[in-house]
Parts: sequence; structure tokens; C-alpha cells
Amino acid sequence: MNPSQPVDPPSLQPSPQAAPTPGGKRVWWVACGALTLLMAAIWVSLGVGRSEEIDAMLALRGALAWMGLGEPLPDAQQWIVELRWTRTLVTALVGAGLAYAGALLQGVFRNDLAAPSILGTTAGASLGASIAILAVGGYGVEFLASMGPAPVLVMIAAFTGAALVTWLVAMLGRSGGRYSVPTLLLVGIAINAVVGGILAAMQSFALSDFEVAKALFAWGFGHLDDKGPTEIGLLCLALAIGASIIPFVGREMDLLAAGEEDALALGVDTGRVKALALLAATLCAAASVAAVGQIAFVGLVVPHIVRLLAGRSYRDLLPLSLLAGAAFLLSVDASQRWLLGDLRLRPGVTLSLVGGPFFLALLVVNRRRMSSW
Amino acid sequence: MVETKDTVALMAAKELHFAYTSEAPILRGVDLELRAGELVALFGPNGAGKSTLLKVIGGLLSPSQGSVRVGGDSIDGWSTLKRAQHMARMPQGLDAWPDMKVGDLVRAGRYCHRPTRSWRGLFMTDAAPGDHSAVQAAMEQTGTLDWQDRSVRELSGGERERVLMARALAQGSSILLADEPTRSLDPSHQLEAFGLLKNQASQGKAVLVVTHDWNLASQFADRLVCLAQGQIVAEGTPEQVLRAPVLGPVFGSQLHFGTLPPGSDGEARPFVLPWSGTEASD
Repeated sequence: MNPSQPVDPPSLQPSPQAAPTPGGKRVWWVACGALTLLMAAIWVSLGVGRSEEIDAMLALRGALAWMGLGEPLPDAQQWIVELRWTRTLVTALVGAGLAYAGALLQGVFRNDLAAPSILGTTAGASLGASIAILAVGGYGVEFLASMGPAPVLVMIAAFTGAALVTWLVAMLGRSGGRYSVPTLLLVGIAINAVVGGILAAMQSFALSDFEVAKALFAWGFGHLDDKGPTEIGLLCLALAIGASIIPFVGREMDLLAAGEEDALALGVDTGRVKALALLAATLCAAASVAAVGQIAFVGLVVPHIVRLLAGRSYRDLLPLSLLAGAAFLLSVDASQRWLLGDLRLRPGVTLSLVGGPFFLALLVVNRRRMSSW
Repeated sequence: MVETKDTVALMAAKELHFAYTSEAPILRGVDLELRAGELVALFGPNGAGKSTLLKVIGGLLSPSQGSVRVGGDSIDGWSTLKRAQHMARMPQGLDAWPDMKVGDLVRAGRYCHRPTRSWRGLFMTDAAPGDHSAVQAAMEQTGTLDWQDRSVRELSGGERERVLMARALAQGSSILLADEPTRSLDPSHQLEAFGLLKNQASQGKAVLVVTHDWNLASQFADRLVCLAQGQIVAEGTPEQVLRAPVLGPVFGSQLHFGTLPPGSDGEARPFVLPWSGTEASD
């Protein structure tokens, strides 16, 4: 062999495909699983209801007719199908929005316990929405849904409230260039308490007007009935804008995990990443709250489950949270309606019952690590 | 030893002042130049501002006065990407060790080379040509290639330092800033680490090392810089700096000075040991 000829051992041959992407094949399995669950949940959600059973064919025909393709279904069937589609879509989109917001916040604050409901983001959105409802005149959810600009107004107010609170948490929770876990959680507790108090006070004042009180109360634990195309449109818009930042923050958040200063030294524009992610998280959480009210723990539980199944890379976690969030909230809602029938717990109640213990379990599992906080 | 005085400075810091808000100033007018092919060791008492100076030079902190110029350009208006392409930093450990494979952590050093205006750059891990070979070469030089698929969390302190070194090398920048790279290494790996940095310098990079180990610095560095209370109090070759009249005022008189036998480069370099005696000897 000619010694001057450079010899490349096979392992050193540069090939762009040689590097494994984070997560790899597992990610596709999780994505397929979440998609299957979502499909099943959509099917159950469309089929189960108080009035009558709707099968898949009927649901599809109804949906096509709704979009102006084909004959409407006879009698009240068309109306029922439209109602169920709306409810199903809104639930799925809200689940996606909350889970995605949770994943983003966990990335920004470098903390698996961050979630929109824990940091106070959803409380802020709720406060903004409630103020808007009172300002519009307290005509109740049905009235708002039928008014053109009113849901948009509620959405803007919710976003403003959520943004203010998130900004406040980001300011107060920071010490010495990093976010400390106890400070973040304590600031979140304080803000949730204050906002909860204001909301309760507003409800007391509004008790004389039943419609206003009902509309305000709806924001407390979520409300998935009586939604319309406006909510679907707003949610889709917020999620589309929110999801568009994934290519600009996913990889960066993986680098951020080792520390802000270190990421900065590697060339990550940490300021831009944090601003983009906070805005997107606020937007998605606010859109969810504006559409259906507060539903706690989706933003905490879903990213955790995804992380357990698919690994920690935010490039996988962010898109998977969107998908899994939709599947998760819809299956919780659908199975609850299926199992409990007419009892119809509100989604926020179910989630609190399921999510609260989950949060406690997380704390117990991480207890040893947390004793050093 | 190649004389590098006539080479153009790769990095020139002028009149650097720095203070965290509402605290006493940490840097008080520091001038420092790094030339290509040069290994400079920065040492000084605890709290002298060494790490802060490294961060200001690296662009992680903005000086309250003064400027850092790289290749004649002020880095003030540089993007984070451009800055990282020119200056790699080897930190004193990480805030949190992510649950990441060693290979992926080293690959993170290539972040600053990703093409920013293409879809490929946005979505792919190994986007830029040369990423893979740079990562492989860096891991080979630091002896970390065999750990590629291990989790960073499984590694010992010394192994982690070597992985961080690999990441800094993979970054492929002309200036290397290392903050106590030998802190948790055993003696043989300390020699190896300094040998590696020296090797980088001889390939034409400018290397600045913050270290408490002036004896290793004496054997490997072309220039020693002593920082005390935010100012440079001594600068020069090991022979010029590691002397009682220079170090006495800064570190006190409990020091013992001597000369090592000739090392790998054939030069006999001075050494200094903490000594329980009271009179400074020379």
C-alpha cells in the first residue's frame, strides 16, 4: 500500500447521515401511538352523546355537508353531528395548545415542573378573559359565541393577561442569572392565589346577573360545550403561529438545558429563543383559556409522558406534545363522557382529579433531587 | 520556542472595565492581547476577576467600558453565531448535565456552523459539511471517541472535562478560552490536557487558559498573566513572572521558588510551591 495515500477507516468517513437524531425510531413509535389514540378518541367523542349514537359514516357525511360538500343529514342529525365535531375539534386543539405551552415553558425555565397552570399563565389568561366578559356586558358564553368580534376580544384580553403574568413570573423567578425552582413555584402559587381571589370576587359581584355569573364560572374549570367555528379558527391560528417557532427553538432548548451561559457561548441567541418561546407559549395557553376556560395539568402531564416515552430532546418533545396533548385531552374527555354518561364532569374537574395526584407523584419521585434546591 | 511577538493579535482587549450592577468593579482597566500560535495562562488569587475577564473576552458579558476586538473587528455588534465561530469556550463544568449522549454533547459544539438560511440548517443535526469529521477529530484528540454512546451523566468529573474539551475543539474556532480545564483531572490527565492545548496553539490558534496551576502553566504557556483585584499586575514569560518580587506582593511570602529539570521541549522552567516557611526565597 502506498503510505502517502490517506486511508480513511470506515468509521471516520464523514457522512451527514451518520449522526443519530435525538430519540430516533422511538419518536416515530410514540408519534404513531399518539395518532392512533387521537383517532380512537375522535371516533368515541363523535359517537358518544346524550341524544343518539352517531357512527363514523354519519359523522363523515355530516362533516362534508358542513363544509358545503354533499347533502346535509336529515332532521336534527346534521345539527348534532356539527355540535359533536365542534366539541371534538375544540377539545383536541385545546389539549394540543396547553401541552405545547407546557413543553415550551419547561424548556425556557429549564424545569420539568413548569406548566402554564402552575406558573399562573392560564390564571392570567382567565383573569383577562373574565374582565373582557364583564366589559362586553356579561351576556354569557352563548351570546359571545354568536357575536362576531367578542370572542376575538376575549382572546386578546386573555392573551394580555397571560402575557403579563408570564412576564411577571419570568422577572420575579429569576435570581443570579438563572431560574430557581422554588422561587418559580412560589411565585406561581402567589399569582394563582391572587388571581383566584379576584375571580371569586368578580363572581360574587356578578351573582345578581345569572348569565354573567355563569359565563365567569365557566372559566373556572373549563367548558367544552357551546363552542363555534370562531373558537376553532382562533385555536388553529394560535397553534399555527405557535408551532411555527419549533425549528427556531427546538435544538436551542436542548443546548439551553446545560445552562444559559453555556448555550450563549455555543452561539445560541438565548434572548431570542426565550422571547419566541414565551410568546408562543403565552399565545397557545391564552387561546386555549379564551376558548374553553382553565384546564389544569395538561401542560404538565403530557410533556412528562412524552419525555418518558420518547426521550428529552425538545426537537421531538415540542411537536409530539402538540399531538399527544390533543390525544390526551380528547381521550380524557371522551372516556369520561363514555363512562360517566349524564354525570358530565367538566374537563377541568377531571384533570384536577387526575393531574393533581400526578403532580404529587412527580414531587415524590424527584424528592431526593429536590432536597438540594 | 517560536517568537510570536511580531504576529498580528487575533484578539485585543483594550481598557476593559466590568461591574455587576450595584457591586464593586470586578475588572478595572484590563489590556490583553492574544496572538495566533500562543498559549497564554491567566492566573491570580481567588476573586481576582479571572473568570469574569474570560467571559467578557468571550462576549458572554458586555464590558461597561472598553472593547474586545477580534481580527480587528469589535465583537460588540457580532451575532452570537459569529462570535461562537471565532471563539470557543471551555467552561468550568455545566450548570446541569443534560441526559445526553457524549457524542451529542460534543456535536453541540458545531451549532454555530449550521447554515442559517436553509431548511436543512433548521431541521438537521449534522447540517454543515465537515461537522462529522470535526466532531470525530475532536473526540479522537481528547480520547473520548469510545464514550460516544454513553450518557454524559455516567461520566466522572475528569471524563466530563475531557468531553467539554472535545466540544470546544469541535467548535473549530481560532480562539480557545478555557476556564480551569485541569481542575478535576488527575496529574497525568492534567499534563495531557495542557499538551492538548499547547498542540492547538502550535496549530495556529490563540489559547487563553485560566488556571491556578502556575507550575503546569510554566511548562506549557508562552506567556503568563497575573490578574489581581481586576488589574493585570504582571505579564511575561514564566521566568519573568514566577519570581518572588513579582508574586510576593500578590500571594504573600509563603512561597518556595525553584527550577524544574528540562521538560519535553528541553527548557528548564521555574516552579513555585506553597511553602509553610515564612521568608520568600528566590
